[in-house]
Amino acid sequence: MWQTAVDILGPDLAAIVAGAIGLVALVQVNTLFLVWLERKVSAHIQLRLGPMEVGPHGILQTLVDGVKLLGKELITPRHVDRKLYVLAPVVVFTGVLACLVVVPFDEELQLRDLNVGVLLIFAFSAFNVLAILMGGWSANNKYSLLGAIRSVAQNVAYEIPLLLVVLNVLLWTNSMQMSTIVAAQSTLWNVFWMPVAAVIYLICATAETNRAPFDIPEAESELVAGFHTEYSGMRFAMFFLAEYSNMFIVTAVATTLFFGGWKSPPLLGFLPVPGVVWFFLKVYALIFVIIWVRWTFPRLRFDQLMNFSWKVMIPVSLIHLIVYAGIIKIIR
Amino acid sequence: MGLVREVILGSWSLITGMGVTIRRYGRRAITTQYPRKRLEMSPGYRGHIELVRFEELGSHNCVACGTCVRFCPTHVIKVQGEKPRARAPKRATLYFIDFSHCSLCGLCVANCPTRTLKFSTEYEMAHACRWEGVVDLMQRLEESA
Amino acid sequence: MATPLPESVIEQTYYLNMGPQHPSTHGVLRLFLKLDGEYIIEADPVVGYGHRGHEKMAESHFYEQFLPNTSRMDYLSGLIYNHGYVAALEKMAGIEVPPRAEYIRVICAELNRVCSHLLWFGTYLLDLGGITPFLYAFDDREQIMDALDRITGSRLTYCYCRVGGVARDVDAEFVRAIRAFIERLRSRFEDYHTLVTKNVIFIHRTRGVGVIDRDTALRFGCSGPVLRASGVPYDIRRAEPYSVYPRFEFDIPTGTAGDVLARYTVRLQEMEQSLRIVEQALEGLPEGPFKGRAPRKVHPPKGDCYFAVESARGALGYYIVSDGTCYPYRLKVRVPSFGNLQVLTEVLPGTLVADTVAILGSVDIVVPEVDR
Repeated sequence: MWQTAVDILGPDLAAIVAGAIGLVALVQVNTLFLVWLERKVSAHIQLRLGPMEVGPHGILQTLVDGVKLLGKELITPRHVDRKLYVLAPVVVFTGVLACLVVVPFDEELQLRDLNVGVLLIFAFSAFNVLAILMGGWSANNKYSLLGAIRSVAQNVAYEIPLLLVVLNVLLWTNSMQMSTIVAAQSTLWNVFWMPVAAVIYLICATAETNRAPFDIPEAESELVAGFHTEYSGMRFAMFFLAEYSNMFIVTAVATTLFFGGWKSPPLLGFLPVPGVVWFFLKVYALIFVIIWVRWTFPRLRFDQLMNFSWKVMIPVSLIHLIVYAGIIKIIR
Repeated sequence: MGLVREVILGSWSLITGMGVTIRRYGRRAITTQYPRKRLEMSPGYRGHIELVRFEELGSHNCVACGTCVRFCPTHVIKVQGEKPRARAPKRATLYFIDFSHCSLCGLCVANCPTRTLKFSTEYEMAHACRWEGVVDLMQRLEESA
Repeated sequence: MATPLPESVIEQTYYLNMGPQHPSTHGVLRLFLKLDGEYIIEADPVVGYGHRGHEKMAESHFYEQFLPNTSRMDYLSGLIYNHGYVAALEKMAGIEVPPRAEYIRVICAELNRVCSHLLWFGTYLLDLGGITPFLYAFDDREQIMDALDRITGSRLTYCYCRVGGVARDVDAEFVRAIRAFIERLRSRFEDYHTLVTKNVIFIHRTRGVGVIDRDTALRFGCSGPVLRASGVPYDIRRAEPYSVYPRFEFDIPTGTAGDVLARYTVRLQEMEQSLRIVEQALEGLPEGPFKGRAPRKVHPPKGDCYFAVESARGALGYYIVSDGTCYPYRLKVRVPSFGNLQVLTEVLPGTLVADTVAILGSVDIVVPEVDR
């Protein structure tokens, strides 16, 4: 089959098509799994069982939910800005696919090893904000609008410390290429030598993906459902897909930048486990932590969230950058 | 300095909080998977009312006095009785309650002069139609025999 | 060049309708908010969506028939509502209540108070965005519900008290279950404090937010934990002792700050005090009948009577006017939530939308009780 595809499309185009299909499949399957994982983890933390009916331990529950969402009517309320309203769920999804292009799942398993990989990811993750703003603005609902405003302010505030700590890694590895960054960690993971940066990255990533305790754009007790209040059916599902895929992307980037990508953990290198397994294990371990955090803490208030970013995160990450830049200068 | 202290103490409080939730992660669930497993209702549970079967009579002892009808705040009880023969005490022949309006106050049970009313432990009382909420207590008594 | 619009025409503010269908307005409360950005300029609670006319209903029912209605006003502390109503009737008609019945009533009322505060604790954290404490609180609450279910037969809208006593006696199994529960809840408080009270996010969300000062609280007729958190140690159980409360030792927890955190702390301490009362009551539970001699239908003499009890939310009063028949001529219920809700118009302006939820949750209203 692969041969036929290559014959018809040529090797480059065939690789692109295969990659695109693979990515879309990964996004879908990953979201289905993550939603199930989230429900299960939250249930067990709360002394419940969670979904148990569809499939063993409810593993197919999200699939069935997805089918239900497919069958739902797409409601477009009156007085919405139609173009933006319809476009927002599409835009939110585009960024997700683009980001996954450069994520190295294994030494060989990477769609495109761009030399500006990190830059591409952070550029495209801004699409998410844009889509939320579009959705919130166009829906002509006050709750949506408040959610959209909050989301933009929050993302701008947390992108700064996020990029500042990523700069540390870039300075250390001297490259924006994902594969090079992973290769540079073959002896020592970055997390061991810049743990503060890793923690700051994870906090900012949680805020970037609008996860609790930073979930104020969709704070259900205040803003009903925030920016996607008016969305229904598959359009809502697109936002949902994007949210969980973003979670995957930020943790995948964290794994690449700080936790050694596909490399095996120290002292476990003798195990005959393929790199891709290590990669996914690390990603899901990080996601577990994010889920665990969500189901433990109450939500921050909007102004406190901004204060936290501007008064704590940004100064700390700046100092961190300066200190590490100095250290790197001395070592090299 | 105050800010640094606050950040450190704050982070510690968050970590201990996460400890509380993760400690429960492996524990047994306290919920019951309802339709698969059912809970036993306590003996004092108040479902809708029911006629008591007295051993010595082999049946209920409702004399259709109408106390329950008068005491019911929502007027959901309907009783009819007849005398089997002249000068005999009256016996109830029909006993209906409209459970959909019942507030389970227990005034009928408390005030029944012959103590022939009790609460059932029925708790699956969802209906598809309003009239399914009407319970024929005589029929239930016969079926339980 | 376009001429700029005059200042007066430009809309700087907008209105937001919070509720009656909103996840955190606790029922069918509607808050009409005038906002400038996310800041509230004016807040107007609109009540009445859950009005069922309980007071009017009472006039067409005889006294006992109103019993099930009492627990449906404040469905979270139904037993205390039961207690207040029958106590008012007993006071009017001069009916003796056996000591065992009084003890049982106090035990149930205090358990119901713990139950209500536990639910408040859970839902309040839900308002703040923490979902897990809600389920832990419900786990504990279930234990009380199961125990109360054994004797009262219901889990939420109790109709347990009767004029002259209670409907059913307690048994040894109930006493044992409650003793076990007291032990259990005391050990659980530590987890609650670690998970919530000491949590830095929680403290930031609550400290200094929604301050109700002493004067405001008194002016609006607040009562219960809201008033006590503002520094007024007023508790009907102490101020106008009823039932067998004078026999028990307990403290009245008060706060000073009057903010959300103070109300939270007062409620948590109140749970501990309630456990103390229950413990003492179980210790001293006398033998004897659980229902005294009372007519089947009370005919209170001509006149009127006001009787107040301390519900989980504050001072609950029944005012009954009797014309000598078995139907009340007029029955007025003074509910605590109403006063506590009105204070929002004073407290909300100047706060953020996010704080609205935090403040609204902290006064712990039950909307059907406000609307009646």
